[in-house]
Amino acid sequence: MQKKEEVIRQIEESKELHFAPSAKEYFGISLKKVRAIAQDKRIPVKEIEIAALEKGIIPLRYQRNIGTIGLKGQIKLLRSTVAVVGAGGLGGGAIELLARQGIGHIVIIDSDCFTEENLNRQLMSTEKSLGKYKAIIAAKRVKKINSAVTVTPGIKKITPENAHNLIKKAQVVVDGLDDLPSRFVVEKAARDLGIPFIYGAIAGFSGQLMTIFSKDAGLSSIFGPPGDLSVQGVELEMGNPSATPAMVMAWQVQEVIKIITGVGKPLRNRLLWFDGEEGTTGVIELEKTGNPGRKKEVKEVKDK
Amino acid sequence: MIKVKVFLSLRKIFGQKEISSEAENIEELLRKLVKQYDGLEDALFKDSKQNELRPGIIILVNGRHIKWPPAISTPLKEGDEVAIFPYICGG
Repeated sequence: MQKKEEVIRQIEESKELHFAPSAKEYFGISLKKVRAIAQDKRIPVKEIEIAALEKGIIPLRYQRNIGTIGLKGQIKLLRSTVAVVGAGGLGGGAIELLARQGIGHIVIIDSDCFTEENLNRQLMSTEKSLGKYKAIIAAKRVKKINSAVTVTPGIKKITPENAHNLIKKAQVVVDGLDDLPSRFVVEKAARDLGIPFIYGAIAGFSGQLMTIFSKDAGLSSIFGPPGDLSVQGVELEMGNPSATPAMVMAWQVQEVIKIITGVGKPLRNRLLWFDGEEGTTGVIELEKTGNPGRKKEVKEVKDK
Repeated sequence: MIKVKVFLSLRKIFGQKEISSEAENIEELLRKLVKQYDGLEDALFKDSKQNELRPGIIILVNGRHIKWPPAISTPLKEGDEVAIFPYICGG
């Protein structure tokens, strides 16, 4: 208790008056000072940032977030855990943005190593990181971007057996996968655990995404029930050029932020499509069939 | 009229992303469109018998997934929206 009061006193002493782009005054605290207090008090950087935000003092690195999500929204993000399954084109880019946004804990799951074919679009890949595990490289990148973020890399291929355990700590799961059966595996695990799953996929200059809550029909509303699914799609022929994953993963990250902060309306039961070649976007409204099995299960628990 | 929305490679075959058509059910609609648009049969069906869709083709009627077969006879009515697109799975 005394330690917390001492931390708050140091934060108050370190705050400085700043001006937002709108010319509005605000009290901010620099990264250097946050780090100094964290080191002095042996408290994680994240906790210092949360304590400052609770006092209305904005860590400068998040200042441009606050106008949209507010102080409380930033605190919620810092206290949240997000799992990213797949750290390639979609996942790698999403990890970068989640770290910058100030997600408190990022779980990264990927069993692959970077290859030269990844360099055109996967933001975590560099010539130096070829042959190295994507999850490890991504985790190192997160720590370079934002030392407040806790990062848990897992060099694992997601399976029906391990999926629940790998994502169970997350409030939201981001789809960075590149085949359909694995997406159904993660969707099911997320559904079982009551965690929203942000589906995204790309091919050529086109992409699509949707936010799936546990009561939503989800992937089966698009693809039909899992079973005799094609593993991959037209991306096998069209490839994945550089800009397309960035376009979808940015939307996915936006959905994560919306869900955790409660700002806006998630893309539930709506498949957002874009056709970059034509320069058009659209939304396909999907039938809200729900998941009868799940609903029944929930009702039965309540009845007891 | 039935509104038909198509995406990606199918948009190229149609030359536009949305067309209007008339049909009593999905089977009739697709067989009609196949006659109208060159290359559509090959894009949608496994062979010229048109009994089986290519894997990785999705058909939604008013946002509901249609399995072909057995939902080949799904009825259509005025104002219905049919979306047809190939799987995209890249990440």
